[in-house]
Amino acid sequence: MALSRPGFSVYLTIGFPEPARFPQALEALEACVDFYELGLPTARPKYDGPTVRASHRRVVARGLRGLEALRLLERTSVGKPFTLMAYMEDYAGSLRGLMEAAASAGAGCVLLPDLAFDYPGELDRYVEESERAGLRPCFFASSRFPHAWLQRYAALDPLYIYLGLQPATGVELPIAVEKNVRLARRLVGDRYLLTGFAIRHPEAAAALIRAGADAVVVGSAVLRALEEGGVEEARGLACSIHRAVHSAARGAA
Amino acid sequence: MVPRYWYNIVADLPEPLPPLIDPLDDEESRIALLVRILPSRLIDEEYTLSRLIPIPERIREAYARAGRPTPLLRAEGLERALGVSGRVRIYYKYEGALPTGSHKLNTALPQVYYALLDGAEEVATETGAGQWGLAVATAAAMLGVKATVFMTRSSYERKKPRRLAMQAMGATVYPSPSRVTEAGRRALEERPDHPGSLGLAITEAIEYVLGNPKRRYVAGSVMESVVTHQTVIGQEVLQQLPEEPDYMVACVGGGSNLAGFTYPAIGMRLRGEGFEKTRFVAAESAAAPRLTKGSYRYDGLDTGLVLPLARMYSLGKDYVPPPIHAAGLRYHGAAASLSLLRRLGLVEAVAYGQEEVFEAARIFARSEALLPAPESAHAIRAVIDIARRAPKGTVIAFNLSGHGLMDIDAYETLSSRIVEGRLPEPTGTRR
Ligand SMILES: Cc1ncc(COP(=O)(O)O)c(C=O)c1O
Repeated sequence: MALSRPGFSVYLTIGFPEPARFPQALEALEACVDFYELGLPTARPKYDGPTVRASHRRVVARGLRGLEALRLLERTSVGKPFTLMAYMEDYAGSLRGLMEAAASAGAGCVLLPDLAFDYPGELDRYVEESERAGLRPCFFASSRFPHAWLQRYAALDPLYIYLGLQPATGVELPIAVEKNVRLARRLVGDRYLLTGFAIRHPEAAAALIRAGADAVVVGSAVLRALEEGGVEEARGLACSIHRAVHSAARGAA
Repeated sequence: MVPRYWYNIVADLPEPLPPLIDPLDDEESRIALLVRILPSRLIDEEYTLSRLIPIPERIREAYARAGRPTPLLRAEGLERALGVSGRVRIYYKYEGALPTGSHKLNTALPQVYYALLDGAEEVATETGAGQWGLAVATAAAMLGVKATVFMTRSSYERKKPRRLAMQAMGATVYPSPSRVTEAGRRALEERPDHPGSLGLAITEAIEYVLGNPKRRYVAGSVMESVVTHQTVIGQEVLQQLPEEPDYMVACVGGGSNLAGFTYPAIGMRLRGEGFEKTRFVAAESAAAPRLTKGSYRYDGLDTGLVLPLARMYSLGKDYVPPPIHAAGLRYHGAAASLSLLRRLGLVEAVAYGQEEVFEAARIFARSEALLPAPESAHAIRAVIDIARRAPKGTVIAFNLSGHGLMDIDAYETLSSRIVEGRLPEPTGTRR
């Protein structure tokens, strides 16, 4: 799988807002995303912010969790490339199974946001298991992160390096995120740099692209829109940010 | 010359720093709440990828006015007193030379300045020994804002000189637990004679700040940004040290002075630029032995769980340490970066009891003619132990994070014990 530059992605927890309505949500967003970032529902979304945490809680309460969620995905036509997000904590003993299931579901990679923080010694095993299953690795970094790790990521030829701009998903603090993107760009060279966390507005997304990001992903804002305004509102938000991302890239070219 | 940059070790750590988190089942985010608590620019410095952070010109000027760079001194008197002259060379960075008498002013100044940039009219904080509170009161007086300080009750009662100094500079000082906040009133109901704890005083200060948007909280230690400000010490040390030490030693409360003193050197080690043989030693109090006896895990930064959770060495957020004279070392946890370095074995830790620490303080006072803060005396204790065992040619550097001129109460207790013959004359000293 290759990702377009620039790229715009939406994060959804698989099965949100309801397992029965999830396919419809995906379909509604399709015209305005370049790829999806889909979360395997977990009971312990430990590093996520309140909106994403609540989305996991809700889906898990409907009885959908972990790899079972992939079955829902099989019954849905996902019209765009997608990657998966899961917590290593849930799969530390069954990484191979996770990667094989992800590959057969058609994912491009599996992002494990807790890998670097809680299982730093397992990075190589993760890369091996990804490649063994025919996937590329993809990596999570935060806005306070060792430079040598970003360079190590870059050397492993990932599908993308995800830079979490804020301390948690959906939480916006006064952080000079564009400055961090410029620095990350210098450290990862021409690797695909995906940025996310608390992006809600087209202007903010465009600014990140101009600062050197290849792509942005929007999660909490879309989940909230889906919940509060339904698929139309979520689509409206996604399409406005998609347009901003693509025109910012044209402006920069 | 006053350094132009602070050093952010997170950029060079051998492993990524675990993030701050919200408790899992929280509907609201404590992380999101930080924006109403902390100065914005401090939050930005907490979440930066930059290795070097430029020190604002206004703060460099304030540093210079306050007496930076502080001196690095050779402790020849101590070497003689220990009988290690010609065998071991000991240096110390003297942060007590700052007008508030300790390293705490290094971060009080930028934080109060950042609060002003947000349009705040008042800063609030907690303090144990009062060193931090005094630094905040001083920075607030220098920059023209009001300061409110929640001082742990045991210190409020015993550390009168520092409390009076804060009040003289215009700060409002409450004993914590206080009746000013909900958290304080609750603690007093449960235990009317509550001696206070730093964790609880933090909760009080934050509750107070949340009560008015014109207030900002300023943090004395533990946060990465605060630790980063203290690296002004270690940046100067790199310019001042005539030789690479075998040991760099500092005491640990939240970890800011140890980090400030050692991180620039540890950073060089991590980048392969020197300090390969240096051992970095944290001296803590046996009354709050987080690095030697605590566990590495996610825990609350404050007792009331207003703040997010951090992964650190901790004794538990509800830990109430026994009252000791080195009140500044009684926090239950340690900075996340320091905790990670400790877990990876790059920083070693030792814990000392009060008596052996005061013995060290007395040896130092008599040999160097300088009264150390009880906190700093923990580092001196470690230095003395290392020096006595060290092979010829060993070089030791330590951070004298503060003087003890306002901790006379502690020395009074100590000297009355000596007079009563309850504390033996220090052994092995030659004067
Ligand atoms: C003189 C002195 N040294 C050291 C400390 C310990 O703090 P930290 O480890 O955060 O530097 C304190 C804290 O109050 C102090 O007053």
